[in-house]
Amino acid sequence: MSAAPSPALPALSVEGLRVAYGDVEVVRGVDLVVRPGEKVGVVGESGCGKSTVALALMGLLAAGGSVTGGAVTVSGSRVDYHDERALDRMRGSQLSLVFQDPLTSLDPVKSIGSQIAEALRRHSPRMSRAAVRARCAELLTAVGVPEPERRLRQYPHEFSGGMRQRALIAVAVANDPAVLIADEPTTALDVTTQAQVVDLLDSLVDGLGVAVVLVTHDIGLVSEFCDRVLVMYAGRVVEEVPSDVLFGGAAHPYTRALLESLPVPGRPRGEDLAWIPGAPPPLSALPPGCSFAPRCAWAQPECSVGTPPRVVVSEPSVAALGTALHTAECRRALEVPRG
Amino acid sequence: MSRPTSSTSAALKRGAGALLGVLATLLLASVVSFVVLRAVPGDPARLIVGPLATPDVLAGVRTQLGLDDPLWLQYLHYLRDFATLQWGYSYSNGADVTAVIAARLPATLELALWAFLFAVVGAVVVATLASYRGGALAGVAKVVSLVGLGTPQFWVALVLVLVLGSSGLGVLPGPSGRLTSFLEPPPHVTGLYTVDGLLAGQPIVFSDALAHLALPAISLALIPGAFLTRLLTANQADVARAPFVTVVRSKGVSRWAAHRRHVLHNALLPSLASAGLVLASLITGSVLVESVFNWPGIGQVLVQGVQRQDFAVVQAFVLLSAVLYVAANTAADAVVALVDPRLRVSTR
Amino acid sequence: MAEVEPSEAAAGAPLLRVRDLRRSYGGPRSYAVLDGLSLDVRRGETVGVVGESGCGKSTLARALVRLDPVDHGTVELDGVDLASLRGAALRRERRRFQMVFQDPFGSLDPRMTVRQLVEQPLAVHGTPPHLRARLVEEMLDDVGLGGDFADRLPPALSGGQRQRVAIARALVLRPDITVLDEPISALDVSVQAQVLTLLRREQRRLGLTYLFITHDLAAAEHFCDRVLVLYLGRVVEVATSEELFASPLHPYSAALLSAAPQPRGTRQRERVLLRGEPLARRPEAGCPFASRCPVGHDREVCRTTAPELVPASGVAAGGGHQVACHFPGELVAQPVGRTAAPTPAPDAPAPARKGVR
Repeated sequence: MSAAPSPALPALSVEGLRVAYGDVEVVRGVDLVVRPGEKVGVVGESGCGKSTVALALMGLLAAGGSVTGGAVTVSGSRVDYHDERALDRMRGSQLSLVFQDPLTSLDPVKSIGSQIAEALRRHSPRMSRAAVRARCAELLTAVGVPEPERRLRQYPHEFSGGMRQRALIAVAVANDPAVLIADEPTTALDVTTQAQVVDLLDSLVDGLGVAVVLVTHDIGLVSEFCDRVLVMYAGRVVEEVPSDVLFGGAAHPYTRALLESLPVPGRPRGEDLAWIPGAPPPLSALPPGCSFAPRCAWAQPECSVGTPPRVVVSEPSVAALGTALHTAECRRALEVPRG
Repeated sequence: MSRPTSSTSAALKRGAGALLGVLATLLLASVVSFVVLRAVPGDPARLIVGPLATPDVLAGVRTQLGLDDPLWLQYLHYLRDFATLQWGYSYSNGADVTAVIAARLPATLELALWAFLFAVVGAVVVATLASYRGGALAGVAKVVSLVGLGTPQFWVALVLVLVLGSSGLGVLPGPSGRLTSFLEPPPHVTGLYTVDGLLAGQPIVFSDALAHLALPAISLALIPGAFLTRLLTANQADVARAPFVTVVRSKGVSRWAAHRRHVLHNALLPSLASAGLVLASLITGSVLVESVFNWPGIGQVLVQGVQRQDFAVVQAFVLLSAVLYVAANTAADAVVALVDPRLRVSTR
Repeated sequence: MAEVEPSEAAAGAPLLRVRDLRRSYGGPRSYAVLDGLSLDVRRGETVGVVGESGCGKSTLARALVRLDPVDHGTVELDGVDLASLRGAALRRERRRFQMVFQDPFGSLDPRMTVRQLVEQPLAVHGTPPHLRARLVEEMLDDVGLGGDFADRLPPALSGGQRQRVAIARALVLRPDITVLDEPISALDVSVQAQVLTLLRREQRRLGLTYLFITHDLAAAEHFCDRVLVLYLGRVVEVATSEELFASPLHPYSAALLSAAPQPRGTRQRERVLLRGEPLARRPEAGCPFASRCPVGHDREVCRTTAPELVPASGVAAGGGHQVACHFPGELVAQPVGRTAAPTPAPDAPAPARKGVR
C-alpha cells in the first residue's frame, strides 16, 4: 500500500467539472470530493451524465467529447486533461476503472495473465518476468479467483461473468491506485454474483484503503455499499446525501420521487408505485431554471427562473468529521416532507 | 469456464467435419469441371486428327482417348488420372500437360506470392494508419481503396507499363518476362527466382527478378489489396469501439500501443480467412496480368488451351484451381484455429 | 418429477396447466434447460417466475407461447392441449396467449405509427374493421399514448413508451394469459414503476392473467400473487409472495433474497453468500444446487439424491407452499440483529483483508 496520505488530503477532488459533446453540455458543473478509503456513489437514470463523469475523470471520453471546465485533483496533484502522456502515467496508477460489462471488458484473444501483467508493466517497466507472474497470481488470489497459476493462462471465454469481473478488479488494483472508479460494475451480473463482487470491493477498501466511486443506476446498491450518495439529474448533482439518511431523509423532489418508485421490500403489495411523469429533458434543450421543475410536484413559478440554490439540508454532526454534509439543489429542499 | 474433457473430442469432430467439407468441395468441383467441359460444343478427337481425317481414324482416336466410354467411366478415369498427376497430353500439340504446368507453375506462384505480400503489407499499413489517425487520412484511404476495387486489372497493368515500364520512364523493367535476358536463372530449388537467387548467393539475380516482378505484382495486388484495406479498416473501427479498449487505456497504455497490441490484433483475426481466399485468387487469377507482362506462367497456357478447345489443359487447370482454393481456405481456417484462443484446442 | 397440484381442489381447474415440461439443448452432450417443470396459473392471478441467468426462465416463456418446441410435456389452456392444435384452431388459441418481451424495439416495425402497430394484431386475428378503431383508441388512452402519440413512429419514442406500445399490442386482443418476459429490465427505475402500475391497472380492468418472468426479486414481490423460484431448469420453491419473501424455505431462495441490495437501515436479513461459481448445467446426480449450497454441500443425501418438490410441512396450510429441498428452512436468512451464522467461505481463498502487497 502506498504511503497513507494525510487524512485531510482528499484522494479525489472535482470542482465544477463540465463535459461537452460537440455543442451539447452533458455534465454541467459537478463537484465531488472523495477521501481515502471512502465509498461514494453516483446514481441517476440513463442520460443523466453519470457514466460521462466516470469517463471524463479517466480522460477517456469517446470521440467528440471533451472536458470544458473544472478542476480535478488526484492525491493532491492537479490533472491536466490536455497532457496525454501525463494522463497515461496517471491512469491505472492513481485512478483506475472497473467497467460495466465484464463480458466485453477483456480482450478476447489475450490471456488473463497478460492482461493483468500489462497494467503492471506499464507502471513498473523494470519488474522482472518472474516478479510480474508472481504478482499477477497474488492479485488473482486477492480478488478470490481460485487456482491462480492455471487461471492466468486461461482466456476470457474460459471465465464466468463473475470471475471476469474479479479479474478486471485485479487489473484495476494492480498498481495500488488512490481511487477506483467503478461504472455499473455489477449491472451485468446475476444478483448472487453481484453480492459476491460487492463483498470483494468492500474487502478491498478495507484492505487497501482505496477510495471507490461507484457509478450506478441501482439506488439500493449505492445506499448499501456507499458512505455518501450523489444523485444526478440532467448533468448536475441535485443532491448529496449520506447513505444512512437517503431513504428516510432525501430532500430533493427528484430523489424522493425516485425512491418512491422503488418496489422496496416491505412496501405493502397492491399499493401502486409512484412514478415521475414525463421524461428527462434533452440536454440540448434544457428548460430555464431548475431542470427538474417541469416534472416536479413541488415546483413553483420561481423554480423556472434562475439557477436553483444549493441548500444545506443538515450540517454534519461532530462525530462524522465533516464527511456527512447533506445538500440539495432545490429552492424548496427544506419544505419537502421527509421521512 | 473450461470443459477439458469435451475439448479433445470436440476438436476431433471439428477436424473430421472440415475434412469432409474439403472432400465434398473437391468432388463437386471435379464434377462441375468435367460436365461443363463435356457440355461445350466441339469434338476433341476431331481437333487432334484434323478436318481431313477419315471417320475410321477419328473413331480410333476417340476410342484411344476413352471418349466412347460411358460418362461415369470417363469421370472415374479423369479422377484417377488427376490424382496420379497424369493429366494427359495436350490435344493440340501433344505435350505432357503435367510437365507443362509443372514448368510454368513456379513463375505464377512467385508472382502471386509477391503480389500477396504487397497486398497484405499495404493493406495493414494503410488500414492501421487510417483507422488510428482517422480524419482526412481515413477519407483518402477510403476513396483510394474504392477506386482500387473498381479499376480493371489489365488497365492498371497497362498504365504501369506505359508510365514506369521500359516504354515510359524506364524505372522498372517490363514487360519482359522474369529476368533480364543476359542473366541465367538461378539453380533450381523452389523454382521461385527470388528465393533461389538468395539461396544461391546471387543478389543480382534476386534484385533483377524482384524488379521484373514489381510491376506485374503491383498490378495483381491492387484489387485484393484494396479489398483487404477496406476489410481491415472496417474491422479495426469495430474493435476500436469495444469496451475492452477503454479498459486497456485505463491501465495507462498509450493510444498507439493499445491500438497496435489490441485493436490491430483483434481486427487481423477475422481477416485471416479472407486472406487465404485472396492468395488462392491471386494464383489462379493472374491470366490477364501474365498476358500484359509476357509472364511465362500457367495463365498463358490456359489462354491457349481455351482458344484451342484443349480439354486436357483446361480440365487440369480448373481442377488445380479448385484444389488450390480449397487448400488455401483450409490452411487459413487452420491458422485461425491455431491463433484464435476462442477456437484453439484446449490442451489443459 | 412428481406431478404437483397446488391446492387444485380449492381453486378449481387452473387456466394454464403446464406439466413436466422438458427441453434439452446441445446435441449428444445435451443438458436440460427445462427439467420436468410443472406449474399452474389460475384465472386473474399473477404468477412470478424468478431465477438467475441459465435457470431456464426465458426458455419457459418461449416454450409457452410456442416460439420454441419442447421435448416433452404438455401445456393446457382451459383444458385444451395446445400441442394438439393445428391451423385455425391454433391461431384462435394464439390470440388468447400473448407475450411482452424485454426490449420491444425489434418487434415494432419502425415504419408503422403507434396506432397502426396497436391495430395490427386485431387485423391479423380478424377483428372487423369497424370495431377496431374504438378498441385501439381505448387501449392507447389506457396506456397513456393517446392524442398525438398515436401518430408517432417507434424511433421517436423512449424506451418506456415503446414498452407501452408493446403492452398495448398484447392487451388489445384481451388475451386470457399474457407472458411478460422481463418487461421492465431494460427501463429506468422511475419508468419501471409506471409500466408495472399500468400492467396492474389493466389487469384489474380487464381481468387479465399474467405470468411474470423476471430476475428482479423486488419487482416480483411487489407485483406477483405467487412466485416460483427456478434453479437450473427446476422449480425449487413455490409460495405466495408474502410467504416466500417472509420465510423462504429453500437455501437458494434465501440466498437470492438476501443478495438483493437493500438500503442501509432497512436490511432485514443477513446476506447469505453462495459457494463457488454458478454451474452452467445440473450435475449428474443429487440436488442441482448442492455444490453451491451453504446447507447441503457437505451432506451425503444432497450429493446423491435430487429432492422432489413437495408441500412444505410446518407452514400454514392452504398457501400451497412447496419446496424441493432435503433440509427446508434450515437456512432462513437470519434477521439482522441476531448473531448470524458466519457466512460460508466460497471455495475460493477468502479475499485478503490486509494490503495485497
